[in-house]
Amino acid sequence: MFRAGAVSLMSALGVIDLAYGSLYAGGNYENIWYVMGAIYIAFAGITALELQPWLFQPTVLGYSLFLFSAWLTSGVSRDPVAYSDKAIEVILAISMVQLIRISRSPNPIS
Amino acid sequence: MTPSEIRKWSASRIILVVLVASVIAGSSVGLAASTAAKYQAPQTREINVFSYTLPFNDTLYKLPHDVFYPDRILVYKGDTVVIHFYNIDNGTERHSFTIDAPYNINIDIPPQPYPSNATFVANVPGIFLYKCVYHTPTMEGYMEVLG
Repeated sequence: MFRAGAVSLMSALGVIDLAYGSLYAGGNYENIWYVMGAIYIAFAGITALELQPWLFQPTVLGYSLFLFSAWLTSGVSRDPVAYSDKAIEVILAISMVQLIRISRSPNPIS
Repeated sequence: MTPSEIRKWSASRIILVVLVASVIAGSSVGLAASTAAKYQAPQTREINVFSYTLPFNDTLYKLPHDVFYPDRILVYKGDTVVIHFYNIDNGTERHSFTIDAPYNINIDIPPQPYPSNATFVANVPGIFLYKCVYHTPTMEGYMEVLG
């Protein structure tokens, strides 16, 4: 259940980032959003297929926290779309924490 | 540290390591991007300054009717500033474009159909008065050097 939820959140973030890159970001910044979105889509696929969860679950957690921290400290993109994106990112990070805990428990259920 | 060792880490340990590393890395990148966005590379700024006469009788008002145009100059610290000062007075009045220390600029010219120039590096941030020594207090302006 957590895995399906995390995949949905990553897919949503990927779509939002790609759309944000093409619709909102100006200058050369749209490429950053395209890359961020593509990475989320790739992670969604990897998580859905359960490839190397011991490696990719912490990587997804780290990636979401990295992007959130960078956004928080850079002071750029303060608009409703970015706020929604970052709210989903926080929910994803919490989901990944739960997923890592479940995966590393003696009797994983998901 | 090998992958097999990392696989054996407890959930709490790996979450803590990832959290600390990601927040430090993300914050560093964010702060660097923020600093880079605010940074202005020094450049050469050529500024044309003119003397200008306001339409009133300066004898009646006991004030000079001469002013600068523009009376505000904005540059960044490190910029090379080139002032082209045009004295376009129709008569024979001298005008000066003078900034005191730390810049010590003084262009002093009679009316003439070409500018006199001064070049300096704006290396001290702050707000600096520029004036015509013959026509204060009306012929004054401010140069703001953003640091």
